[in-house]
Amino acid sequence: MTFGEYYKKIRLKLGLSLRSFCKQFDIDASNLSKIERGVNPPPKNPIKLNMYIAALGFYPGSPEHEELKSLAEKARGVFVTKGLSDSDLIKKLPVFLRTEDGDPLNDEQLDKLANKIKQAWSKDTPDEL
Amino acid sequence: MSYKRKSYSDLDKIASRFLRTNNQLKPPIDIDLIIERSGLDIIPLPGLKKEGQLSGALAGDFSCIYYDEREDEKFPTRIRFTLAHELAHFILHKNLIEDELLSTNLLWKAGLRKLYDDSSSFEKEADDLAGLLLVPSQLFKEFYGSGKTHNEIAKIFNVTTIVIEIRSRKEFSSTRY
Repeated sequence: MTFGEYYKKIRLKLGLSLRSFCKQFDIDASNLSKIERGVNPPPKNPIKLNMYIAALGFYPGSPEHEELKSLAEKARGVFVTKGLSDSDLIKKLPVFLRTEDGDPLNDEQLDKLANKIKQAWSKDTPDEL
Repeated sequence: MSYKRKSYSDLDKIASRFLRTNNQLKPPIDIDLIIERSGLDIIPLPGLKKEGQLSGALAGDFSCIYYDEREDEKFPTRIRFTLAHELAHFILHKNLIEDELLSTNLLWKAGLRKLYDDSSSFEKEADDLAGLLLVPSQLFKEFYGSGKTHNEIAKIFNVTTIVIEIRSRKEFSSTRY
């Protein structure tokens, strides 16, 4: 199991949705979502990593804290982003779209949307991590 | 594509069963948690609304729901309805999507246009089920019967007043559809 998979498993076990959890602990939801999906690596900065783990209620010395730290260390240097192939990426494109005015999107808007979806499945640059 | 719309009472049963299975028996319904525990990721996409007033979307492989993170900061209650609406598509409309639609970018666009032409029935259905998931009939009747205003009930269920008004019309209309 990866850091992200384990982190999400615990978060859901605690009954915390991504949105409420991130709001409660002032965590960037986009980044955490990418970490949990294996798109971004776990935080490299130890203070940030401890903060992420503490948000789940685990402090240094607890088995969960150590497990998460160990999984984060394992990912360091050998992290391979779960980048999607073009054929996999197409499957992530939306099929049901909720627009406020009920109008369909034109081709240009669909292209921009596809690009946005691609970004959601692409690793952030080091500056953003 | 001919699509046979479900009746409102059928949707009511689907919502009740789904909420019971997910142990959501009191308001506000934690729609996010239900979605994630159903195996769907909720993925924030900042600026999604800029693309044609889009508030949310369900991925073709039914693995995730996208929502506008910036809209969430401004209107978190509205986003709850958007998420419930996409969950409703997940529950009801998986069989409407043909594999071919998700094979190339061009077919995706063509498929969306075709879906849009036939969409009024299942969009309406997704709206109805979303309302029933966020404001389940039995709970709604309890609070409605206690004499609370629409605004007070909306706060209890953490939805907009419009959702309560629509639920009220559907719930207490003489003919259910």
